Amino acid sequence: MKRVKMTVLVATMALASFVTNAQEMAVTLEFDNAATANEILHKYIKALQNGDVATMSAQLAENAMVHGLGGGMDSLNVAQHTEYFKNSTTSFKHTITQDLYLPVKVENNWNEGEWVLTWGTNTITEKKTGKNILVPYHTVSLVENGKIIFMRYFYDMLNILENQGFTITPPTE
Amino acid sequence: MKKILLLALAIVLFTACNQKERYTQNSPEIDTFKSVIKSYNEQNWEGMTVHYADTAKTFNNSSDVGLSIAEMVDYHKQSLANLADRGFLDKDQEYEMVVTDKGDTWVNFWGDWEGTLKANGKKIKIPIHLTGQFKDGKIVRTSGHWDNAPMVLALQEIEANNNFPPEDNRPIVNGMYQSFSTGDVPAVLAAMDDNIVWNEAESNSLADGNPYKGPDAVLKGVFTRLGENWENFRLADIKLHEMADDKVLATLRYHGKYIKTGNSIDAQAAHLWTLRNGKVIGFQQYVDTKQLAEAESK
Repeated sequence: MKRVKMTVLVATMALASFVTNAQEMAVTLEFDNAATANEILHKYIKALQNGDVATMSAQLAENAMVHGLGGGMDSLNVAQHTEYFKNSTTSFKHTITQDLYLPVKVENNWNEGEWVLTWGTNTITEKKTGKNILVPYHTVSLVENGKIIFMRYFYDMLNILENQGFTITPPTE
Repeated sequence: MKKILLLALAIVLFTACNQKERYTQNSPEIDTFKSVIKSYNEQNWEGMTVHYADTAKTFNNSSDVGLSIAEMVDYHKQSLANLADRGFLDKDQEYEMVVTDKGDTWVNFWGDWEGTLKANGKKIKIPIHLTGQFKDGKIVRTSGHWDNAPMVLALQEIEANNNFPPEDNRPIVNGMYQSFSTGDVPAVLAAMDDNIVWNEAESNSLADGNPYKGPDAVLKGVFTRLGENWENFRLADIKLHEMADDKVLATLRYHGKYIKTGNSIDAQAAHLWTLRNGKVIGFQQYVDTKQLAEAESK
């Protein structure tokens, strides 16, 4: 009888542990598509460095939206994203260093889905002059069915504008 | 044998229970980061810095220039100079903590920062990402990523308007061009009188609805069609000239690509604005219509 009680106790502890984990696992770093999602972002970043805009845009779903690329064009569809980076890669070479990738799966929440967070530094080299601009960046991407459906860039457009010769005058009182 | 099995199961359970959680949205470190954000909003610098290690560095949109704690506080104080108020909005704040493979603890934060400019009351909203590394419960390093351009361009607009003499209509027109450049069409329309009369240049394809009467007619007949037919349409080299009779002349150039043909333009243009009581009541466009027609038809 003592052994039975011990077995029941251990089994209850085990069950409780799984139930608790099931409730807490609304967000996880380890999920089935983590490697695939990571690979998509790696491909996107590699293509940017190669100036291969077609491959960059091929990682986006047809109805994907890209936010935060700066200027008045804050929200870009796939065609506008392609045009943006065609213009950019015509004049600039992009070199990514210190890049980090973090796949995260969110369940049972408003932001449910498989996300990839990235951080890095983009060294943008003006092809005409060879001048370098260092741009630390962060991106948040939602991946669905092997494509990026949503992407937001966080970086300082002002950094680029100033390096391109725009002068900033603070207002006088 | 049963004892051995039970012992093995207990060991597995013990190990599982003590496994370090690599991702969470609830932790003391997250609470600390929330306290930092709250202190920032309240300009409580002591309340903010108490959570940082003495040797902590802050990297704002930079991977190589790190600010010390004192420099970070100065940076925040200086940024208040042009603002009536500012802070992170409570809505849609997101926090998470991640423990890396190397065992480093990072808290990530996403939120919208909003500031109100002292000079004109304009509100600027900027999405911001901050990430902070923790050691022994203290922040040892933070990195921030956001776009400073909207704020600085708004300050530039104020400075440009400061250079105009009183009773000059150019600040109003300048504000419209600034709003147009950032895609803020509602602000452009708000500067128009309800009875504005808007004329596109003769022979411009958009002149088919001349004269457009009222902001709504301008929106539907001009701005919407511009957006539908042109890619990256923008105005450049804008120079404003105050004229007699409440008129302002703008000389400028148009750039853009006509979507159907893929042809781009770099066209000379002029806009003659008429204002009354601080509102635009008339607009006449002059532009190189030959270039526009060629871009649209080839």
